[in-house]
Amino acid sequence: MYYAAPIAKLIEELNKLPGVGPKTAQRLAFHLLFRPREEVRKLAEAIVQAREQVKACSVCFNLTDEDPCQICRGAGRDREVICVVEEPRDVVAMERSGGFKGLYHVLQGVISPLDGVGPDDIRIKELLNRLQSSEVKEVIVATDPDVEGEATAAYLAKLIKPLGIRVTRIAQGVPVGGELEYADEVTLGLALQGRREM
Amino acid sequence: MALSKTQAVVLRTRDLGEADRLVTLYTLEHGKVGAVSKGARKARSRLGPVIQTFNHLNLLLYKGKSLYTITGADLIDGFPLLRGDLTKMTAASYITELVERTSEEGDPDQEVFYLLVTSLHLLVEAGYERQVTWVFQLRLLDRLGLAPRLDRCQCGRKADMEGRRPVAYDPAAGGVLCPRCGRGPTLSREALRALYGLQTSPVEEALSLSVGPGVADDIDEFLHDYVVYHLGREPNSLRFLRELWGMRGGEMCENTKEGG
Repeated sequence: MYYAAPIAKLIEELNKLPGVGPKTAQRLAFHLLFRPREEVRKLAEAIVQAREQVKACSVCFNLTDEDPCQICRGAGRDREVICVVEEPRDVVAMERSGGFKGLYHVLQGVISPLDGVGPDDIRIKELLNRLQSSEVKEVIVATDPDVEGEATAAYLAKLIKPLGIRVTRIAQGVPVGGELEYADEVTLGLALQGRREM
Repeated sequence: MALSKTQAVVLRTRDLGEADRLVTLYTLEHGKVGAVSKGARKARSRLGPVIQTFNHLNLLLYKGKSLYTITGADLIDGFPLLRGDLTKMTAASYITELVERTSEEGDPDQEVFYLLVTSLHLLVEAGYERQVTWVFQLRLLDRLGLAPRLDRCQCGRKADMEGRRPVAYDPAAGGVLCPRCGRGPTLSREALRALYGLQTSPVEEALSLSVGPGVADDIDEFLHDYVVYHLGREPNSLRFLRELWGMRGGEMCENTKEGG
């Protein structure tokens, strides 16, 4: 036994975190051992609190500590547009862009036949229920532009269009500040397809 | 030399670390291999958009200790039509999953490679996803030495192709059974004739085979039992594909031309 039992346990737990190997776990553990007690207690409390207080919003399934979440309750939000994303992290990314003032719907996943994830395993039914009982006029599908994301988007469009609601897909193209010369052929092709009038 | 150029089809991708992607490839030169695509998940990655599931690529691979690293990629075909259609995408997933599950790392088989590429091309063309999966499954089983024996029983007795009564089969026994050899799930004679046709005729002919919906279900059921027996489990995408096709009636008949 190289370590005292409590240290070994701490290292073992830290080692379970993503991207943390045994060496990093050891370094973090020793770092914590030499910090003031108060600081360490705050960290421990923050972890427990976040885990216990954060849940999925019953309307949009984003992570929140109050239900419905701030965005769903927000007075200044446009209630006629819903942006559909895969993960709560995507909501953060969209909010950071500052360009969207509507509501969200978090699917909590994406249709992936290879991983055995079907339409019933993600929050599609909840989205449809939501659309039936609201004044939504447009659904923006912002799933990732990969195979699973595109298939999910196509599936959603097929279900939502018959409800008389406009379904749009976020644009795909050359990133800001990028150079055409270095753009890959797939993206450049999509950028051409999605060109706009000036 | 540690660097190699090869054609490949992307079978599966999954996230690795912060911005990388771990990719399972079926390559022409090395068979199935695992490869890392560094930084592929970053918005400005040049490789990321090209290295997507189902894509047929020209790759530059660097061989590391256990995994390859993708250092360059050129798109040959991205099958864009597979992406906007859930049924086609699921059928393509099933085909790639079968290749992934039945191949060993570093054991190339050019026939399987071209079978995979051809099948993806055929799936893009409208109308006969189901036939493509049938032909693919039979050709792959054949290549693996597991082709179901349809024209005779294990005891050597010839199967009566012209009869009317359903014929028993058993994947463990390698194919159809004569009445004396046993019982098991059964296959209609029409489905047996169709399967035999699929197995023995050239691809174009096999694809244009048209059968009624009941027969199509029988063929699916037979191939399902066969594949599950040899893999030891039901492939994820097959379960999902069967749901989409609504086994036993419903939507699936759309893809299967009546008559013939």
